[in-house]
Amino acid sequence: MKKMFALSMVNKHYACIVKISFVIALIFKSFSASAEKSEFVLEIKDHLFYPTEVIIPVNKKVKLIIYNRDNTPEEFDSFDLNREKVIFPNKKTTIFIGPLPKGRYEFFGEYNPNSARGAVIVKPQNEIINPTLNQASLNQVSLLKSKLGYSEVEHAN
Amino acid sequence: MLINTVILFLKDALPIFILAALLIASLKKQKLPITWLFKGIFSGALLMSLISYNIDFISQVAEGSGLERLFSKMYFLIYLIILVHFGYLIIMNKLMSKDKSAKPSPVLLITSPTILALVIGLNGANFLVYFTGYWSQSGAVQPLLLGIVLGMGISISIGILLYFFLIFVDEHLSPKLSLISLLLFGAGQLNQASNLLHQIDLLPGHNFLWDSNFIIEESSELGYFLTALFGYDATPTLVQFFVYITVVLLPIGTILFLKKQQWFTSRIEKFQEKAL
Repeated sequence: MKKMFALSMVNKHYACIVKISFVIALIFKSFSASAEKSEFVLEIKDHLFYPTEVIIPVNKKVKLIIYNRDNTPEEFDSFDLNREKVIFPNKKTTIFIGPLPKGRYEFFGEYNPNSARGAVIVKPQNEIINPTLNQASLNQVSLLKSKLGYSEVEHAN
Repeated sequence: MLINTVILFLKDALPIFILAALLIASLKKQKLPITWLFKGIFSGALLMSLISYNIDFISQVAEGSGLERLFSKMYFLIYLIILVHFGYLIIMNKLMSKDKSAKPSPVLLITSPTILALVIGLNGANFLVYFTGYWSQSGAVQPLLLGIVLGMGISISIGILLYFFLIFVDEHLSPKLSLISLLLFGAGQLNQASNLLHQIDLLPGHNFLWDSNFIIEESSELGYFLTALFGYDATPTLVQFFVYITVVLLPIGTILFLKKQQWFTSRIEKFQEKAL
């Protein structure tokens, strides 16, 4: 009888833990899926970042896609953004940054910190003169990217 | 490239040497054979090779978030094992102070090399990416090797200094400093995990709570040291702060509570009965 009681108590506690975990998981899921994130593209070529400045809206979490076009690995590193990510040769990677207040957040390539440098500029939406570019047009104007100073790709998904 | 190699080596190797110093200092009262250290280094080297061999593949898993997922789980595991190690050390230190002839716990013989192996595996794999990636470049071999030697020298020096500092404080001021430092190291590892989870959007992102870069810059030498020692973060988020405080205060609170309930005394008596 005592054993049965103990067992039912354990089951109750177990069920409670599972329920709490489920609720926490749901909260986190809802947080991450709550807003559609804008996507921004960065490229590493010849140990340089293109574009050198990425302009993103204030207080919004955004997705940063980084392509490494070099034959050596590079590590995207930023003390300001609290981000660190290795990008293998000829591969792409994705990280999320923000929400951030207005300001300038430096980043660099940890394996080539003298050449690979750039910054994320956070501005209010109304201050961003943003001709939204899709991926196709972005590819066509890839030579102009560094002059434009920003690139935002918004996917319809 | 030389300076960069030294910096990268320090960043990845410093946590290993700091952990080794913390473990050796905290285990000083226990009469553990030093073989645990070599077992840890050997297993760590194996784990490091295994991860770095598959790192390209792992990084592409789960839409490119494979490394963050794996590393955050490893950081979490390190914290959990440190917690077990911390608990057993408290019991065994009390037992040793009562009974000098008491044998060391076999649990500590497992936890110590496991923590070390996990930290070596994690940090070593990171450095190997850089090392193997640039090894084949012309003129890179000499600065790479020289950088490793210099970095190794600095890391060993810091490890030795930290060990003697901990031993001095443990003996003259507070016998619990190495234990608390070990717990803080574990919390720091968990902080790294939360950073990685923020990065892949598995933890909700918020604005930074504060920016203490004007006091201690995270990218400075002291910043690197403090990050390796207890996970110093100049710009933490609310989630990170909450997690850090919880994982430090919860075990300390539990121990104080158990101490009040005289749980340790009964546990020590059980150990002594077993020994007889």
